[in-house]
Amino acid sequence: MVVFKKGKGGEKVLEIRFHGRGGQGAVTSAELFAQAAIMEGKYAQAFPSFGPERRGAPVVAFCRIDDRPIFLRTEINEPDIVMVLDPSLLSVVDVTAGLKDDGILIINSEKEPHHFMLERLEQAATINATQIALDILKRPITNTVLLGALARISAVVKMESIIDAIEQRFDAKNAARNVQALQKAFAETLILSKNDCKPESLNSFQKYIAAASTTREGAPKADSEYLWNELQPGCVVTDAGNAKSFRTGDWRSFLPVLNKERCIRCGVCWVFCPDMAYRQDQEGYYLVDLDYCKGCGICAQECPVGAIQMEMEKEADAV
Amino acid sequence: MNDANVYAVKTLTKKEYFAPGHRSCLGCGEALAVRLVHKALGRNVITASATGCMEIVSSPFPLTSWEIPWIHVAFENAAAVAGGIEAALKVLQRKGKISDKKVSVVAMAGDGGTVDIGLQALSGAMERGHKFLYVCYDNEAYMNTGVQRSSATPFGAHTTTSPAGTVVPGQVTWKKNMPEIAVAHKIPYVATATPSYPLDLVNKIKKGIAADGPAYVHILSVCPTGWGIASEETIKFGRLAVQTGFFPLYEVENGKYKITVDFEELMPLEQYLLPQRRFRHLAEDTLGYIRGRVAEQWEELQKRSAE
Repeated sequence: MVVFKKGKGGEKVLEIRFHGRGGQGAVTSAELFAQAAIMEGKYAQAFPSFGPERRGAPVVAFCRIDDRPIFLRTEINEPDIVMVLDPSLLSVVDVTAGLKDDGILIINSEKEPHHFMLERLEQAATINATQIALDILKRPITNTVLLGALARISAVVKMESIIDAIEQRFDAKNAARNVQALQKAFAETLILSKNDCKPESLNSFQKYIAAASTTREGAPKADSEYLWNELQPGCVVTDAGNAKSFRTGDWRSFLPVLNKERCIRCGVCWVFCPDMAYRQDQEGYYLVDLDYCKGCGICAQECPVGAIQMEMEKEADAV
Repeated sequence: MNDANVYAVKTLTKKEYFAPGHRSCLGCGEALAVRLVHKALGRNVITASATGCMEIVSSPFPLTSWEIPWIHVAFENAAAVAGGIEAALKVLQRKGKISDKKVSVVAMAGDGGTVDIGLQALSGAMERGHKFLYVCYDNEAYMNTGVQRSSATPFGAHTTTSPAGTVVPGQVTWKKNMPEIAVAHKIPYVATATPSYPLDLVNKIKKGIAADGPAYVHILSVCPTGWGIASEETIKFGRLAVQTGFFPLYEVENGKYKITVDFEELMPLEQYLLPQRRFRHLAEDTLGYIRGRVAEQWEELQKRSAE
């Protein structure tokens, strides 16, 4: 149970970071929680990180709640709580980066929380939000569902206020379904405290986080790592085509699978691929490069002989 | 799927000048168009790009998807910068300061950067007669900032700044006919294209860059996010736009019109419009009006290409 923490000036503040994919509603999640806090007379902010990422790409949103007016306008680098809307993000982004030592990790996963426990954390929680969303909302949109888990764990905002915020935001029919999903999540959230965790399962998540990366070998360092005197005039990039080191395959939720027996090697999948993910092998088959394929499904749709099927991506096995 | 596409796409070069790892949405028709355009242009090309989706997704510092010299300029002046590059190359080659190898100069922009913000610079560059190719990637709204209407947004389309309601059926003005504006400048080559017809697109780009003077190619780039269709339907909707006569494919070579993908009979317009979220509110009277204007536009084009 998290209550408000004392900040440096004695003020109480709670900072939450939401990890999702573009289009999954991480920002809506943050906004609803902030709205609920405001309804209770607190002060709150909710905002996304701004970047070039599109539908499907890993994104973050932030929510900051305080008893007093908030003057900070910065992104949250050291959150008290981290929420992960999509388990496939775990192999891509280090979701625990900057998470405070006594912080809480909430993950949408069908697994039990001990898989995600770290020694330095206070609590880890999991909720099979995708299943709840599919059952009740009929779509794999987990943003409101996860707020149920958040309400269960943090005593900062009451469940009733979140319900009010949802009812204000959606029309009656959608609100009712979202509230139903929220309450189911509230009831079904699995919470594990560090003290109750078996020592052998502590830190198994650690090596998994360490491997999380969106880039291939040979990628330049992140933009924030550059010093002013390392930049070319006009920020010219001289390494042509170095975006190849960036793996957009992480955005994928459906995977094209080729049936070689039906394939006529016509190359239609290759020519219509907006992500240059197809390469021809020596036998003349076009094979997809999973580092780049975003899973749009154009190849399967356009294949003249129906040799490509889109299959659902599985949750990363390594956890 | 027309048969020519199935059996002939392999004739396109395997070489890519637009590298993977760019950050466009799933099923982005514009990224596909950029890829095919640069396949047609080859290696010896300098591209000036206006602000827009393609600038954002292809060049987040320190990464770039461009395998060719590419410069990002302001929203309004892609054509002016391309004109400047062309003039500089001409002078430097005449003075013998660089090799006289042929280098193509291309300007690219979205519909906002072409028909709204960049029109003045484009008109100026076409009027001055720079030998360059201008490619407009038209996704029919300001998609980069979250779907605001542009003057290339079709009549009746819902966007965040032309919302459809009980009184107003979305966008209330007809799509600005940019290819006709280019034709009015009496430039040697104007064409429309879409990546759903890849060979047609590649041929037009090659003709455009070989033309003796300014060339303009207007490419319909399907935007699944902004139009409200599934990501796998990008190619299908590009094809439907052509088959229903909503976006006819034609070229104008030295004033001579030619429909490059012709049909005896057009498909019903509803098949293209109603499955899209931006058009799903259309009532029968609005549909009738659109149908009338599309038919009129198609007849006019038929007449001109028969001349």
